Amino acid sequence: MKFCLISLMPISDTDGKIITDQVHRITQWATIMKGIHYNGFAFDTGFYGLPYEFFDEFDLVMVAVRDAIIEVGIKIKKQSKARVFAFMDGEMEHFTSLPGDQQVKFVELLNIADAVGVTHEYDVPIIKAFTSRPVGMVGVPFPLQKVREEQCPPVEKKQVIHVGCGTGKSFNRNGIVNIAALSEIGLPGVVDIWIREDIEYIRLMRKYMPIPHIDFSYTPRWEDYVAMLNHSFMGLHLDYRQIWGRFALDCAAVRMPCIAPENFYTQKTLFPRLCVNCLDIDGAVKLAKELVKNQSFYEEVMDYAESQLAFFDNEAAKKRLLDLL
Amino acid sequence: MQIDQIIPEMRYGYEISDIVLTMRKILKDIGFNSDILTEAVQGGKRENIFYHMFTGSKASKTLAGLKAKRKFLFYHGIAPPEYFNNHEVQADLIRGRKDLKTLKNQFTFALTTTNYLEKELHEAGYTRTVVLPLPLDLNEYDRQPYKRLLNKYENGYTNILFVGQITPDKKLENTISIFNYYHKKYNPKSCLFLVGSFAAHPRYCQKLFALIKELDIKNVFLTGRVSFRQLLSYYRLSQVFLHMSEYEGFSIPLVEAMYLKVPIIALNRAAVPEVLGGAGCLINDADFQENARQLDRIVNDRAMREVIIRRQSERVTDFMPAKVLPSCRIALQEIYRFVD
Repeated sequence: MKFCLISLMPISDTDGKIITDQVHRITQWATIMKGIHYNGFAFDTGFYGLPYEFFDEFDLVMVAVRDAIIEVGIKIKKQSKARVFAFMDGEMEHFTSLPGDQQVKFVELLNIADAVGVTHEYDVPIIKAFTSRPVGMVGVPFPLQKVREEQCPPVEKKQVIHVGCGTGKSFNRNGIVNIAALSEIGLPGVVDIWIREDIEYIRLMRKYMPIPHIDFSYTPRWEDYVAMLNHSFMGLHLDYRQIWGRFALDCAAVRMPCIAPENFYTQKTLFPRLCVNCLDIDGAVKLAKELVKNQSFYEEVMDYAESQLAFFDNEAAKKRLLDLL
Repeated sequence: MQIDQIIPEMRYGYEISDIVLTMRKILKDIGFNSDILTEAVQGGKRENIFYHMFTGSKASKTLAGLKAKRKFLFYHGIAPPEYFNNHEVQADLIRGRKDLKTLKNQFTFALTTTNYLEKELHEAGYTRTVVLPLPLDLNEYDRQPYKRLLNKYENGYTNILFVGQITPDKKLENTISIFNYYHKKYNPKSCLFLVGSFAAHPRYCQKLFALIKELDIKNVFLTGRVSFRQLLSYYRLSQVFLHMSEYEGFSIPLVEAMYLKVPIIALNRAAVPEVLGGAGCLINDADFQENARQLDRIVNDRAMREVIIRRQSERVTDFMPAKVLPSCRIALQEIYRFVD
């Protein structure tokens, strides 16, 4: 099957070439389908010098839908013979809060696409209300074998908490609640971000809050990020978005628990006992302390996550996609 | 009869140096002559020796060149080397722990100060061991504290105290983090005094300074080494003694705090519960939030404070010479008779 992924991932020299990177990102779809990738917005502006008829040569084009490429998806379907799979890329709130005219276009795409994939089971009834096309939860493939066998061997965990959603300054996805929860837990934190403003933000907050030591690290390469994540003891990601939730899956893959809301599909599936409301600091703190103090609880939680991991692997994801078509 | 003591070095105000001096008094009291020698002693022949082993001892080298009819080990504990990663002392600690095992056949008998350390001796292969209760001359602590320091800090603030060498095994980063929580959530009018020498571990000290700066905590004071009267002032000024150390073979500061009526919160590790003997307030982990809450409770709950202080005052009598010396003398005489 000749496969092409259209997304809003940054333009790269590898665009148009077969993707082989094994990373937990949207491009993993192209990797497992042995396909190529183009930035949809750049394609539409003529950046690659290719017409929409170019897609005739593909059996399947996956459009990772965001507001900026709804039109691109419609054009691919209308101007080429390729089958189009509309993949809802990101939080459902992004689509439900589109301006009215874009909502019309969005629903048009959902109805002309050959199938629609979402990243959370809660999204399925929402999208089904908009279209009669097949809709299913497909998620994002995860390179489990590569992570387990090459990148992240078992290591002795440090008693630090990896905070998944930054500090609340640069990416305001409930970051302040995460920092507050970290303060109440009292263990040192790791944040995968290195922006001067974030450090300054934490410094200013520390005047009023007992924020523990935080290591700021910046790992733009996913391989480096996941290798670093491997050394933490647990993850914390109190995010309000209804999403796939890459972070919880990353945590499970590196054999550590994650406290997060069930609006992450991965969290709900992997760590049902560690689900809390995104504003429930008390709940998150209690769970974190239980994980620190109760080794058998930690092990039970991880045993369950381990039993669910195969669902997220490359091959399982590929099967979900193909079953939907 | 002569029993000499060998110690790596004698230093004023150091816990083990004080123990050596006390031991000499006891030995003389029961009829032995006793000289104190440092490891600089070059060979020679001695009748009996007590070799004091602790962090920094060079036992294998010293004992190799020393002839004696009987050699007794006095073991004071060697901190686990893993606390001292990337520090030059780590090699000494590894060697010290190795020496403890390999030299076991050189000693006729091994003495130590707590059951916890005796267990370490057994694990190292020693079979003839005894726990020798340590008599502490606590009358010294009734001296007048240093007035100027009292005047400087008698300002209505709540003072939290730690006394001891500033070394990584003391886990002062946890003490600071608990204080951070206490200071910001419960009582901004509070100070933390970390009293003790940091000369041997300047890098660890730098790390602590960096943490204090990073956490933006006011009122944390690393005093460095202080005079005895200054030390008394810090005890007098403090409402709680906070002890998060993960390794203690004994701990004279805990005894001092009990004697000077400063309620203790201490981590339940190593020989700490044994030294406290049911007194003080033991905590099981470094849960900053919970420990800060406990700190606040002990500062504000008068009845609770009084109960803790009363229990500590009872416990500290177990270290008084009147109670300890007779059993200490008997133990030493029996050891000597046994091996003679």
